[in-house]
Amino acid sequence: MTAVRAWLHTALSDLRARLRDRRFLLMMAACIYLGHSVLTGRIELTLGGRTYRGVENAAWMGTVLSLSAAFLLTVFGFYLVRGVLARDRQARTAPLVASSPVRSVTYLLGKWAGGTVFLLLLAGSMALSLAVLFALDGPGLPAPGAILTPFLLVVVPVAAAVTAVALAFECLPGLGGTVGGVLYFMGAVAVVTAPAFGPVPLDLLSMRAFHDSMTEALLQQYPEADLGPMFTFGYFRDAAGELKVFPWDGIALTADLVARRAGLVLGSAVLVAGAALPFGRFDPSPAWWAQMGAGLPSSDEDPSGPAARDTPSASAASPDSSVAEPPSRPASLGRLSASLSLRPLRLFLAEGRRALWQRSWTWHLGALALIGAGWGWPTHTGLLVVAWLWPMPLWSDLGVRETVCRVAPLVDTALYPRAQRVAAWAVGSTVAFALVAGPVLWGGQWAALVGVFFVPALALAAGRLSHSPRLFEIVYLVLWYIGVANQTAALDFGGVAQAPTATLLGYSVAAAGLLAAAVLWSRSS
Amino acid sequence: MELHIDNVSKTYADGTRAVRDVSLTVSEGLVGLLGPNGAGKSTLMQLIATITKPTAGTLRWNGTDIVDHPATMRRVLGYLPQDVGMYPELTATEFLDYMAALKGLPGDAARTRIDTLLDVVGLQDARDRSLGGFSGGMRQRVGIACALLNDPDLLVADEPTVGLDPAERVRFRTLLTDLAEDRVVLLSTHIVSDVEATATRLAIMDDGRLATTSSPEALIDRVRDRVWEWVVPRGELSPVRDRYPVTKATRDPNGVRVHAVAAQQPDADASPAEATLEDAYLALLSDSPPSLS
Repeated sequence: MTAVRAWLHTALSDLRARLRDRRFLLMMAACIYLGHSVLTGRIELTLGGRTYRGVENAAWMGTVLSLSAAFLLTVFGFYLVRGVLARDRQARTAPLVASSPVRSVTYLLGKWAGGTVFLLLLAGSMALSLAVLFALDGPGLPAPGAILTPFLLVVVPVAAAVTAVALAFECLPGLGGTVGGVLYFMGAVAVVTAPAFGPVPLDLLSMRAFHDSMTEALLQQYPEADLGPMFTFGYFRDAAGELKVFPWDGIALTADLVARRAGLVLGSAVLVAGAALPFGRFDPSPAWWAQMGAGLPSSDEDPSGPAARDTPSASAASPDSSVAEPPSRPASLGRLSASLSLRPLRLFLAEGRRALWQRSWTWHLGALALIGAGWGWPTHTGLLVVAWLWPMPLWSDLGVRETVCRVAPLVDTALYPRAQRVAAWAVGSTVAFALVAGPVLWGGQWAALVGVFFVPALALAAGRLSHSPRLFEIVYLVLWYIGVANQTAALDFGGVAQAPTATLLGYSVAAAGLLAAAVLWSRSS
Repeated sequence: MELHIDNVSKTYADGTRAVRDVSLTVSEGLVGLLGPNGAGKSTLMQLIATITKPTAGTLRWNGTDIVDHPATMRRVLGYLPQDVGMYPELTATEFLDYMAALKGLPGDAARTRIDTLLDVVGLQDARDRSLGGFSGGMRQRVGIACALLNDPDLLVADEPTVGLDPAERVRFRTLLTDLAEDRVVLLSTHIVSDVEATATRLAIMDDGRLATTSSPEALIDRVRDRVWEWVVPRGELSPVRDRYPVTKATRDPNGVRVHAVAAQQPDADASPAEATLEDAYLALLSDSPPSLS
């Protein structure tokens, strides 16, 4: 009973903290808009390319909405719920939790429940807005079961799984920061797209089950239909035109399907329980395997908490062990004769040293390898794609590290706080340029210079706005994945896809605007 | 050197009025800003340090409005925030050098200054160790060194002795006294003993307002001859606390010996006692203060 109570209160406090964040209202507004987009057909699901769709009844709309919500939760939900342990460290509640009788498993399961309900509230607001709009603008009040069934079947397990993975990543050494964010993004994209190519062991969204059910209904009406391996769904700015419609009353609830979805929830709970092993319970001197994560710090983490994560060697020693007690009267302090003035190069070097010092030796080694390979194979697109990902941990810290390390009051009251921001951006740009210098100077990929200016400006602005690396990470990963990794010319900032002039101009203007905003915006109000 | 605070108020977006119509002029010497937790001391410090802007009133340094011209203040400011943070991956020397660059110190001067400051705060032996492994007291000492990097004319220290052990506290007070000889030092604290022996002037805040400004001696004079000591039975301490500001209660074979401020002799057995700054401070903040003329 005590464990249940502890679990419930952990979940409730986690949920309350999330809901009282002003950003929740913004997310809710975005979800309501997405619900509206389903009803208006901006978000659509079609089969046979963009040839067939179901009759717009509650079952169809509910399924489109649930799949859309589940897709968004899979790709972006992770970034919304991660950092929960880091938040407890920053709020200084970690020692209270660690010294309380609550078991680590109970605590983590509570956090998991809080995060899952949070994601469900967001997805639920999409469903609710769809139901309300369906009643007002559509055929009438929908049958609750028609919308609720796909929601329970698809969205609930996905929310549970995403939150579980986020917690597990945070408990595992080295995955709590940017590296974990990048790995998750790649994994999530792979998991979501894999069912399109055939049966897979983990069909997170149950896409194949829905596809098979819809195909069966469609072929009854259009036996001659030529259908692809998977339906298409997404956000479209233009209407698809006249689509052939077919009746579909929703997916049949088979015992196998329900068991698989329930299994996903159960598996998520098991994953969270398993994460209690490497959790470490906020121990500032973690076990050796946890120290392996040192050098890959999360920007969300409070460095004053698990100091070992950042500086294992230092924290291993007793803090005061080798420091002599100060004399009873301090040494005399003379007046300073030097004049104070802006020294851009000194500031740039100081900022550069600070930014590079905290990176692990493996990061430096990788960066050097990429720089060398860039000069050796300047036209190799794959190298350029990786080069645009490698400095992400460094960029993620821009505008964030001051807040996380609670240095902001010192920086903001120094003589040149704006120059510090410019220097931080310049360091980010210099690192970016170093990594793409070969392709730019040797391979003629001059368009990559746009990214050199744009990406650190985006990171700095996002960091200063959100005080967290997550906003930058998710925006940048999407841009990188579409523009650079998939070589989409219209979004390419990395010199991989012959971006049109309008794109390069757009990124340049955005870079200037973001940099100006980041530098000029002051915390004081 | 003069800091002039004129009718300054600060109301946060949620409606909290942290500072209400505070006026204060501060010149060379050590000014102790005393007040209970939540009195508005830290907000006033942040206003002076140009971290936040007032919703009303003006702050001037040597006649220049520091809200309009924050660089004027930052050039001469040394600020030690209540919860000082630092980059754990840097050593003490590297961190101070980084902050020196932000404060506009040239490299050579910074190196000399850092060397001196590490001596002053007793961290010379730990200069090349990562800050991530520093204890709370050591971090505080780095913060003090950081605040003194640019040789400030105005040193603003917000609860600087939190986390320091008794020896470090004494040492820090001595340092502040030395610095205050030719600078303005503003020290915020809720611990009376931090300012008792060092402050040339006290400003006491309560509920966002400036309750009084005075020299420590004048403040003590307000309660002189009104401080009493007597022994009460154990069960009667609570009613005594309700009636008088009790500044000390110690065990006694016959009950509890109380040290309290009262305008009249509170008990037939009460005898006059030596007045302290703590008596004056608590009497001032008491709900039913004795008449303070």
